[in-house]
Parts: sequence; C-alpha cells; structure tokens
Amino acid sequence: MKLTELMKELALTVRSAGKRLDREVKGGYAGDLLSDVMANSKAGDVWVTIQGHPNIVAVATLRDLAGVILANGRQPDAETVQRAEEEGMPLLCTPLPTYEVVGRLYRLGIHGQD
Amino acid sequence: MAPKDIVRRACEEGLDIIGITDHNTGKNVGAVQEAAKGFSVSVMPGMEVQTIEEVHVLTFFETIDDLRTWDGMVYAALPDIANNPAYFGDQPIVNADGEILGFEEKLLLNSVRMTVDQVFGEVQRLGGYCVPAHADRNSFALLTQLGFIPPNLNIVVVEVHDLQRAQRLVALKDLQFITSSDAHFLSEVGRGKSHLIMDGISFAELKMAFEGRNGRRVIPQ
Repeated sequence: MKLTELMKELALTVRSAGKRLDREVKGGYAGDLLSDVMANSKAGDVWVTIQGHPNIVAVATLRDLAGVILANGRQPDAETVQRAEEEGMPLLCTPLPTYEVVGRLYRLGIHGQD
Repeated sequence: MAPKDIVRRACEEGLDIIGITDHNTGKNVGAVQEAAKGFSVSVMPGMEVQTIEEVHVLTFFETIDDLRTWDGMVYAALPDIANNPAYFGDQPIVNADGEILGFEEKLLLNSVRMTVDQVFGEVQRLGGYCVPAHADRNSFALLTQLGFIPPNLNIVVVEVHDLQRAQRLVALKDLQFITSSDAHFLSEVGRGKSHLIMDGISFAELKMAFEGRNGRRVIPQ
C-alpha cells in the first residue's frame, strides 16, 4: 500500500515532499520518544507521532521510513517542514489522535514489522 | 523545604552558589533570595521548564526581574488545567520564613506549549542561559525525547545525573558536564555539586564557566 492510498481514510494533509507519496508502506511504528523510534522502527514503516521537532526528519531519514504522520492536530516546526522537503521525506498531518490513526492503519492492512 | 532551611543547609554544605529551579515556575525563588540575605551563599534565579517535546531544560537568569518576566511567559504557555492536590500534592507559594502565601492553581507538571527552540530563543533574548537537565537519564531528557542533540542549539554544557554514565554516552561527547543535587528534599541539598573556575561570583562569570571561555571552566570530577 502507498501513502497516497491513506490520505482520505486518515484525513491527511501533505506538508512536505508531496512528490514522494508513491513510496510503498511496508509497516507502521508509533512513538514520541525519538530515541525509541531510532532504535526500533523498520525501513519502510510509516511513523505516527506527535513530535514536530526538526529531529524527526533526521530519524525518519536515518531509518529509511516511508513517511511521518503528525497526529492529533500537531503542527511541525517551520524548520521541520523545510528539512523534510530537502530530504524528500513525506510529512503528513491529521487532526486524528494517534490511537485512531494506528487503528485505521491496522484496518487498512498496515501492521508492525517483525 | 522552607527557604531559610535551604539556605542554612547550603551554607553547611559549603556551597557558594545554588540554583533554584522549580518545575515550570519561578514564583518561589524570590523567597529563597530573601532568606539568603546576610549569608555566604548566592541564589541564582532559575526554573526547570518542560517543553512541548517533554524535554527538561534548566533556565537561569541574572536577576529576579528577568525570571519574573520569563515566569509570566511560561505561565501563559501552560495548559489551563487545574492542579488536583489529592494526586499531585499542593503547589504552595511561600515567603522567606516558609509561610504559605497562596497556592499555584494551574497544574505545573504539564508541558509548556513552547518548543525547545522557542525556550532557548526566548531565554537568550532575556539574557538568560539554558542548560539541558539530566541529559544522561532515560526520561524527559534531550536524548530520549529528540534522539540526539539538535545542532542548532549550540549546546556546550549539560547537567547530568550520573557522571560516569554520562561519560560513556557517545551522544554527549565533547560537552561540559555539571552535576547537581536536584534536591527535592532538604537532606538532598549538596549531595551533588560542581566545581567551577571563576573570577568571583556573578552571572557573567557563571556563563563563561559553563561555556569554558576566558579561562573559566567546569573542573572535571
């Protein structure tokens, strides 16, 4: 499944790297401690978080994630948007809280990767 | 911990400077400064702020007026959620004698709606100084919350809980460490301290020592 196929179901708006939404999503990870996400997320995961700090782009790029969803109406810092654009890392926002986002992802067939 | 008792304990421990850094409030610092009049210990006005990323940052100011300005900004950025003393305890505001003048009603343990970048920016604009708190710990620390030290903050000094652990963390390499008591009880005052090379006691000297400039520095323990 691709990020483009999630847009409507998760009420997503694109903030960065709109041209990279055709990337294949292999699984999902959720977390707000970047140290944890850096250690445990898998390549191809879509990451659900409420952290909007620029460091999320570095973590997502380092782990080769498919994209980042900022949940619960959180807005990324301006620098986060800019860096995500530079890195080609899709940054998507939704008013839905993390629990709801993850539930809907699971229903769409996106699970955690072993 | 009554202000007079904190000052007495600090003097007994031989401390020259203490920082008062309550969580998201600076409203009790004036009382400690008042209590320290006539004693050998200097009280540095401060506050431990919890940013929106849930990073704890120690903020220090030269004057109590600067801290009060900062306190006003932090208070406005705290969510409007009332404290429940049954769960979290009272949040008293006291005078130098420890008499309760009133209670802070907003819950102070929440995150302030400011990013770590905004906290550093505003504190520096007010002439203050930021030191990331307990940078080696596994909760509410820069590294746990943000994975690595954001380079744009130009951090040169961090406060650490366990010096030996901190020295093993690659992510903290090349930084100066200060250790402190993080005292929440009177008996803990002085259990951790830092030795600094300074030319007299002033805020400017302290900043230079934190940054290792002009021959001032933190003496590694």
